[in-house]
Amino acid sequence: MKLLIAEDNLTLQLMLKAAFTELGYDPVVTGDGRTALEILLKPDAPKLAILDWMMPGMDGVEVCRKVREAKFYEPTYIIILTYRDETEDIIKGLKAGANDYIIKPYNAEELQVRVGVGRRVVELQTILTGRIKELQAAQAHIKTLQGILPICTYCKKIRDDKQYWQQVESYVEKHSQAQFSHAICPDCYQKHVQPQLDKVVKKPSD
Amino acid sequence: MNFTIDIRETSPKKEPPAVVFDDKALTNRLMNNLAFTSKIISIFLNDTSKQIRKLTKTVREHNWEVAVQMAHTIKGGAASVGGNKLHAAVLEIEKACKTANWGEAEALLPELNKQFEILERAMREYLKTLSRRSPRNS
Repeated sequence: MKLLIAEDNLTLQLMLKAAFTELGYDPVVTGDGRTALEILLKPDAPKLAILDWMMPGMDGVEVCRKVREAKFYEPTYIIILTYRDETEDIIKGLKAGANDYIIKPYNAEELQVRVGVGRRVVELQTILTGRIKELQAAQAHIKTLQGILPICTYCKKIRDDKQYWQQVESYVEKHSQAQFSHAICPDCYQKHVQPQLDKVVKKPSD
Repeated sequence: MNFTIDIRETSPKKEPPAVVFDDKALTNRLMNNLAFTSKIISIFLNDTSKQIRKLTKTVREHNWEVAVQMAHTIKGGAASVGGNKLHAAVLEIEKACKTANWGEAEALLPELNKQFEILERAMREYLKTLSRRSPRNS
């Protein structure tokens, strides 16, 4: 899983990168806030991020706020990792939309398990998003079949949303999971089939 | 092994113990990877000496915004590698810069340089003990 590490101190940046590479993550690193924001707003952005508070360009809390404003379908799990340990700082960080807040100097094991919590949340979110997309697709299908369909009074063809006239069978097959097998109803049997059979039976005696 | 040069002092509740170099804290953060610990120490010493030079310049230029940012960065790095006394020294400079107390900030610079030199010596000693323990880690 991709993990953004935004930390301006080179030593700490390398320490975090090494530790999380060892744990099987794929770290993306940067030393300034503006680049961190650009990375997090990309379509293939990491869904897990560790942000330092004080960074050149833009601070971590502002990055967090801007990412939340973007209202992603799958929100990024953000951990603020900072030396600022005052209660009002923690409140400010979490109010900006951070999921977690860790104070430096961090305990390695604590940071690892908290990032692990983030990973579980992101994985769960991905599964849920997949399910929601499936449901939305199914709902769109149902809506198509529930709407008012223009049908020809004479030949019974249906006009689709692209203005093409289609046979009822092909329209329904295309917009649902139904399939047609051909048969003859009793009324049509009497009207169409029986007269033909009668003709065949009468022929030899003619 | 705790590679302590100074005697521990009574510390405030949240502050790290007042040692020059808390090597256990560093190796713990690096998942006890001693080879990588050596690399990190070298990078830290090289990077921090440059940053201290830049901080000195910005303090003398009374550049408030950059000085606070630089002091904060050095402080974070020092704390992360277990350089607790250096961390304490730079914390004082950061406080002075935040209140634009340039006289005090400049007066604290020699202490910052002194603490960095002490930490550097402690780290180099530690690196020697590491290489004696395992030649692969040198």
